[in-house]
Amino acid sequence: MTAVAEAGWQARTSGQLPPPEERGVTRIPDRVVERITARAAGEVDLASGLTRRGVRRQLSRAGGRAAPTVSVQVDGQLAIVRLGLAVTYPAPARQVARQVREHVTARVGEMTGLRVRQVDIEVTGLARPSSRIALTTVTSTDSGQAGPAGLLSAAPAGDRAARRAFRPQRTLPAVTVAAVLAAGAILTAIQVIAARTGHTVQVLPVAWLDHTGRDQRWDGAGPVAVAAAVTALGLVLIWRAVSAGRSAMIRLAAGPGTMTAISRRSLRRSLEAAAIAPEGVTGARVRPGRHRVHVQARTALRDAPELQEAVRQAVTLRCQALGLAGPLAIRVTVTRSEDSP
Amino acid sequence: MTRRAARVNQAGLLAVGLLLLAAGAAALARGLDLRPDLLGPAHAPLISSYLRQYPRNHRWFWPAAAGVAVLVALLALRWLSIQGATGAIGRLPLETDDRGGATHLPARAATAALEQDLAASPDLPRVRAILTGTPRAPRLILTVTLSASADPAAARHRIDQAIGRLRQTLDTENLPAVLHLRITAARI
Repeated sequence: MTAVAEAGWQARTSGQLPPPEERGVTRIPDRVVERITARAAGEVDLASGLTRRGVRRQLSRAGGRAAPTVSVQVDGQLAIVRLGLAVTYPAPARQVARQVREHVTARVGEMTGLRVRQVDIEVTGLARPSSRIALTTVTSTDSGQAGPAGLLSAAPAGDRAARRAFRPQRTLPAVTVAAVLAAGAILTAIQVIAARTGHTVQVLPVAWLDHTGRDQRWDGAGPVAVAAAVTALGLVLIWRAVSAGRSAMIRLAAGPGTMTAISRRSLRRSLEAAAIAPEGVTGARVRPGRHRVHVQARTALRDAPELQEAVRQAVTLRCQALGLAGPLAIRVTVTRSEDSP
Repeated sequence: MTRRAARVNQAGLLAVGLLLLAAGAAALARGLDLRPDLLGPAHAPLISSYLRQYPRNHRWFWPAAAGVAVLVALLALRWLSIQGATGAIGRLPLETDDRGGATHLPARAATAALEQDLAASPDLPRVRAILTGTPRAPRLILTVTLSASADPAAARHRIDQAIGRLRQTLDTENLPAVLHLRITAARI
């Protein structure tokens, strides 16, 4: 399909030419419209065909010049354009796309006379800015969410979004139960279906079950023990389903619009790294409890009364740096590691 | 991991737990001869002769048993399969008024930009970003691994700035973000 264009300059020259309908038509191949579109899209700041993966492909195809991918569908005077292009990060992608849309519509219109009705844009990538455009930093709109959360408490009761975000997942017990259930059910199905269709398959110990069912009695030691175990397992699963669990993430002071949390283990690692920083401390163990942090530092020094305060300060600073809000209760004990013989 | 998976896990564990509790308690009560009038005598075989004859006298028993087994197997496999789901969304529509043409951004491109932005820092060895929620109302889940020796305040500042740049690109003030901070073990 090619476009039939009425060139814009005809008005200027109409005096020397026969009436338009006798003049013939100018046909513009789709390929040309596509090139015009690609050129126009490339003229917009912050838009390009330069995604990292796209570069090589584009270079090899366009002979050294990166360009957006374009397809144009022309019907009479109407054009529908599809564009794939990269936007420089972190420019606002929607605004860049709007600029591209307007510019393409205008350029294609003035060069071919086609009416571009629709420009669908697929932002194929967010390209790293070239060195001259630095990553601009947006001014953070602080909504003051860094409210004081209890030291190591989970999310405060009213904060539904946070509770949902850090809800315990129970992945390990769920995967275990689901896997056992699936295996048992599949084996049972195979056994039953095979027996019904006259095959002799032994995936379940049918003979043993039959034998046990006849010989064992309900008040026997074995059946009672198994029944007790099944009851206990049921209680454990119910408890795992109902209780929130201690391993819930610990919330930290939040950035603007951001909820932050750290696992208990990660918190322990971070505080231990801070606690061994003061000179003279050879090792540290940190136990983050619900209301306070207990730090056990080890030293080879026989007389170092200043270490306790130094460790407390280091851990306090680290807690503040992490954004552990609320009044910090940190207990430090310094033990002297035994001299090696 | 999605909220749905968390809900299903809770419901599934509760259901299986209740079943096991009911069956175990009933068997225990019979074994200890607590309610012989209701459950039958304690000093009796596990499988009575009536039970042994049951499938032979009822032709539907084995097909039904096979059907139940297949159903349970399918449900359990489905339960397993949702554990790996991240709930990541595919494409974000950026243009609210798409009469003049739609604008789409693959969510993967947005998260990759954020990951690259943060990966430039040597203190953040691993960064993983996912956009979940719905295409019209995406939410960011960011898991950042920090070395224990790094200054967490500086790292969190960097992360906040990077999230701000992503919000700028997506042109939204309101991209709720959840940041999971992880600390790698200190190098000795």
